[in-house]
Amino acid sequence: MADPIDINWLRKTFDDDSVLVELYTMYVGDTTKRLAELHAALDAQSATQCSRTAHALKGSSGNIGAGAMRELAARLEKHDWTADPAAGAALVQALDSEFARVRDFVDQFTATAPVAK
Amino acid sequence: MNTSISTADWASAAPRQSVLIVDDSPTDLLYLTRVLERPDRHVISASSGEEALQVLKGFECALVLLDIHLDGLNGFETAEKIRAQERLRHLPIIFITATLREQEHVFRGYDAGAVDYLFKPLEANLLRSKVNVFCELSAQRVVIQEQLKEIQAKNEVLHRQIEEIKTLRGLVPICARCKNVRDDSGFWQTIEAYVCDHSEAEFSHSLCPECTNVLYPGLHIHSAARTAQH
Repeated sequence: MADPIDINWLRKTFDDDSVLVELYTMYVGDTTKRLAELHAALDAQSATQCSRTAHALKGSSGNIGAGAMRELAARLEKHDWTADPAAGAALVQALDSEFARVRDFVDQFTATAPVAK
Repeated sequence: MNTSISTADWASAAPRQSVLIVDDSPTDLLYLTRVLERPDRHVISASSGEEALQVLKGFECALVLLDIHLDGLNGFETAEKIRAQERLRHLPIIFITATLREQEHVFRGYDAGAVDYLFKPLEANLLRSKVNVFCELSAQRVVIQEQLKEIQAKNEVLHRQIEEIKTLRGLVPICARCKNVRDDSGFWQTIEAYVCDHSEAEFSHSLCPECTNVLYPGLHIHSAARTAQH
């Protein structure tokens, strides 16, 4: 199974791994809040809010190289809730699971990488 | 006046530039900041359209990178409000979006005043290049404005000098006996004083041959000088 984050995506841009640590840490905090928003939108059955939050997740996931998160968020953004609400809920669950992998990966990475200046 | 400046000098001639980035994602704001920051650049973050408009009240920015999906004022509405201000009418805006590749959205962006459109995930090198170009253009604009001010100031001085020359060319009343002249304020003064006041000419003391003959009849300085030349 591929890593949840492609480190080379950011290393192409930044030659200092401490910047990657800073960005991944921000992403984990940001995404934790976004997923909470997503669950709230799911509970409230707000397709619009689900789509908005998924859109934001898609953008930030793409920018830091979290390809699978980006893919799931993109599918959720376009999801037709009226046609298949169960599939929408499954996508949210899949995002939760993928994010757990991302968090573990970031924890491991930050434990070995240099501290941000 | 030296008005030439090489392309390499534009950045150093202009003050430190500011780039405003507007995005409601803290991750994307941090990413953009790290991609764009340079010692000669000030990257300012705003997390909403409203905050961006506040920032623009206090900062002269070279460029705005504006996300379209924002809570409150969206990117299009924010751009329209920026464009509506005379001071910011020509401020370049680059729209950023994670979707909306459809033509109608892109057209709406250009209608709202976008100079470019970028899609997430952002390709950092492309973004840097684009931002560098707009910053360089902005630096050139600042230097040109400074030079324009300098030229205008010099023009004013020239106009004043031309007015003074015109005064010298006008009709000047001169006394038929003592040869004093009357100035613009009605005061009579010697013609030397008048010319000195109205030009940069100066007079040195000397004697013409006729006056020399009258004052020193036995002295033949001028004829001696002429003879020496032959």
